[in-house]
Amino acid sequence: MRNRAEKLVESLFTISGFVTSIVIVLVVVFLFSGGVHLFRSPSIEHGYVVAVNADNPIDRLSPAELKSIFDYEQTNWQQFGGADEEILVFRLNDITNYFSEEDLGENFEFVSERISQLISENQGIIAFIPQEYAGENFSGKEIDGGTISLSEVFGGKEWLPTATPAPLFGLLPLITGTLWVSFFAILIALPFGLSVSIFMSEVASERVRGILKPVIELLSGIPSVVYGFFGLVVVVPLVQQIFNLDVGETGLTGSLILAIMALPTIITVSEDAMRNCPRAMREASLSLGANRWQTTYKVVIPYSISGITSGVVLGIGRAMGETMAVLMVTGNSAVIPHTILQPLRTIPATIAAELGEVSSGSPHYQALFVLGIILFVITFAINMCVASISAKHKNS
Amino acid sequence: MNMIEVENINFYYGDFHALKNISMEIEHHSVVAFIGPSGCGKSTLLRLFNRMNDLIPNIRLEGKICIDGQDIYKKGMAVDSLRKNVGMVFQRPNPFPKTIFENVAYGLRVNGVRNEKFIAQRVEESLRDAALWSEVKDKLKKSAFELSGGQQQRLCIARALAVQPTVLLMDEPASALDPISTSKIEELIHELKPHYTIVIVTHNMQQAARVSDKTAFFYLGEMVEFSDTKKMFLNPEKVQTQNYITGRFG
Amino acid sequence: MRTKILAVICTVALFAQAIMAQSIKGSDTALPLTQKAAEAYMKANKGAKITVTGGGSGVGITALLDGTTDIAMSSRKMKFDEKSKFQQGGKTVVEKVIAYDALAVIVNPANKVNQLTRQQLEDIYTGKVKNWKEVGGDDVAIVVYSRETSSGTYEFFKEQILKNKNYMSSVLSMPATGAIMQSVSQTKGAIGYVGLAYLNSSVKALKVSYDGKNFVAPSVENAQNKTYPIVRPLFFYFEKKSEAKVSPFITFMLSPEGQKIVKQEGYIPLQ
Repeated sequence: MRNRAEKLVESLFTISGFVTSIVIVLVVVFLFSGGVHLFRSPSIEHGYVVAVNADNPIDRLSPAELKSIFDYEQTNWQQFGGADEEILVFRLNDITNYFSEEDLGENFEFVSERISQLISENQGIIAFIPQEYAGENFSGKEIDGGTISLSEVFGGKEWLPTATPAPLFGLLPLITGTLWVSFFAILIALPFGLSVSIFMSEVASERVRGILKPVIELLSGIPSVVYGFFGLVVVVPLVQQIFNLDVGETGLTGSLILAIMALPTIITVSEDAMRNCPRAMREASLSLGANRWQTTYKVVIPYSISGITSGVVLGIGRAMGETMAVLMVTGNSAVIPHTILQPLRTIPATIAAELGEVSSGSPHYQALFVLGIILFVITFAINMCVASISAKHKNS
Repeated sequence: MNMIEVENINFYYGDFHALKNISMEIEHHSVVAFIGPSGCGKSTLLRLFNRMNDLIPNIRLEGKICIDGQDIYKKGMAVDSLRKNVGMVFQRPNPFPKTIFENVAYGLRVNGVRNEKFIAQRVEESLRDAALWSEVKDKLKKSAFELSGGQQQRLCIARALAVQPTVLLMDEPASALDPISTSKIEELIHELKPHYTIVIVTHNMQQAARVSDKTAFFYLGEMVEFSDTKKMFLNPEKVQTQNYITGRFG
Repeated sequence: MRTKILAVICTVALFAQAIMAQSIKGSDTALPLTQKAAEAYMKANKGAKITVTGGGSGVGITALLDGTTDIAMSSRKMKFDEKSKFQQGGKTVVEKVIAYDALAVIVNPANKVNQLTRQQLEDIYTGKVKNWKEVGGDDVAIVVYSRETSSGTYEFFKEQILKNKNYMSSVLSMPATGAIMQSVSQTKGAIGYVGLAYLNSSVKALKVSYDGKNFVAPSVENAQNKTYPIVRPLFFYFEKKSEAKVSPFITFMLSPEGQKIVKQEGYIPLQ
């Protein structure tokens, strides 16, 4: 009977282990399957075409070129190797500038004809219109926007996922933003967290520890939105005043908030690790004439280094993946930051802000999944690095 | 003058009276064994000699302990230099998470020695004194955790010797070791005796008889008997001692 | 005993399901309005049960496509690819405008500037104008706040004010209207846009002109009499086949009583 119960419990444990691993694998597979189709999608928004006059020699335009045309930054076809002709931008809404309501028909049945007519009459026109208006007797020439390319995504400096006719998915600003914010968050949190945990495990009396520890643990229970609010109302004006900036929503503000959020994890985990350092180890050091600080630096910290690293990794993990708080305080400008005192945009904030409104399966949706994959890869790489460092440390 | 002089000490953990009115003298270059059942106060007394009990909250000491003529509990006593002078070996081997070399060099480094040549020389001498040199001389850069338990304990002895103490306290140094390692430690104690004053706490009666010149028997916080080891084991003065060493209790 | 209670709960749940239970999902802009209207409707019609949840226009439309909601609220017109998905699924979507929402352009109360033309707004949001002194203010750098790229408000402002040009990259995107209010109230050079219903004294609303002559302040009256230009419709989308189920509530929404709620909540009624 007992044997059977033991077997049952054993198989339960095995099953739950398997289920957990499978779920993790499924999450990763889901992430990759969501993002993988991005590079097969056409650049130009689904259901629309970009068309030019049939005599125009231009056949292809990249998303960046399309953007510059439709933002009126480039105004002559010569820039793209065409004839010396002014570019005339046409969107469907502009049709009322050219034709009266009667021209278009009661139920807009002549729209397609009129557009065709307009395109054939204007040498320099570029039109962004729904596909249904570019049917059989269409006089214009469709521009080939190509498919979204790897270099545009990973080398692109502009994140304009809702731009028309062709969205720009340059990830560089988001990746650099994430790295900057995380790096500074760790830079702030690490020394601070370590000194607090050393204070708590080595210096503080039992009474002080008894008060401090629950308070710090409470910090980790505060929802991140509350941190975001605190950041927006308190830290943002503070940063603005201290550094005399135009804007208080900067990378530094995000780093500060993240550092505060990562502190409880770093402190509690590394403090536990240090307190786990056996008394005999401390006594051995003290008995050799070392003072308390020497004992802490030369024995306690090296002994608990793997615990401290895991605290730091957990802290970094939280900082890298945190969305809400960062969303509210970094300003979310998708530009590549040159200093930490500039507004910037992080990957998690982008996903959190945009996934809710995006139509599922669209290139924008897939681009967000690519962001998720990148975030996953970055955190994974950091974890591996730290793990290998602490393993090395242990061997020596 | 004697190496260690204990005058009328009473020691309390909170309300618990752990050591009752103890006085004793320990001569230079002698080995003294403390024996007695668990909780009798022998380890507590040993730990008073290098003020290791200072770490424990809520303690109180009455009386006076002098080592090398110095009252070690007087105000302004530099505890670090006392501990440098009074080395300690613990019950379980407790090497640091460092290389073998750095374990032995640790005491020198924390005491401000910078001369690497001198450190290397002291490390070798200490390892030789601890009868470990031949076993580890080729793997000084390896982690101390790669050694066996007996080797680790001898490393801990070498570590204590490196700072050249005058007194060596040993708190049941062989209790976690196998018989062969134990006999090595005992041999080592014999070899160290001409240069150090050694106080050893042990549960092992034979060990006390083998290694010590004098033995003190503690029971319930009191020092029942303190005399030459030979006399104590052949012809104890007190009945309690008799009972204990013949194994009738404890 | 326990099974009995369970059975009762099940029956009640089924019963409730049967009578007019419907769910509405989508735009956060339309959420407070729909919520209030649903409460009033449920008060008037005992037994009716309406669940209103936010999440964003895109979320609502996706939910409608998946059949997990009956009505999708949206602060933007349904996109072409979304429409074509409904077509592919063999579903016909009905669109109803239920109210209008005016956008107010706001600045810090300390700002001297009181009015801007559409062209000036476009230049500010596309990064051509970078200092308040270029539009008649102090020598302070302009800090441009916007909503997140995927919000319906963002799209609408882009269409109306920027004439479909892209925002400059360095615009600060905030996740919520409240965050824009907070930031504009504490940043001296700030400019932003929020729904009319959110206006309060911590920020200053600008008068706006499309023709460069008549500057109009944002208010419900000005929006209703069409003198204030930045006004957008709020939509309800539903499937044609569920029209019978959802039409009582939509009728209520469009009735004078429903439109009164629209006005109370700071939105602009249809008439």
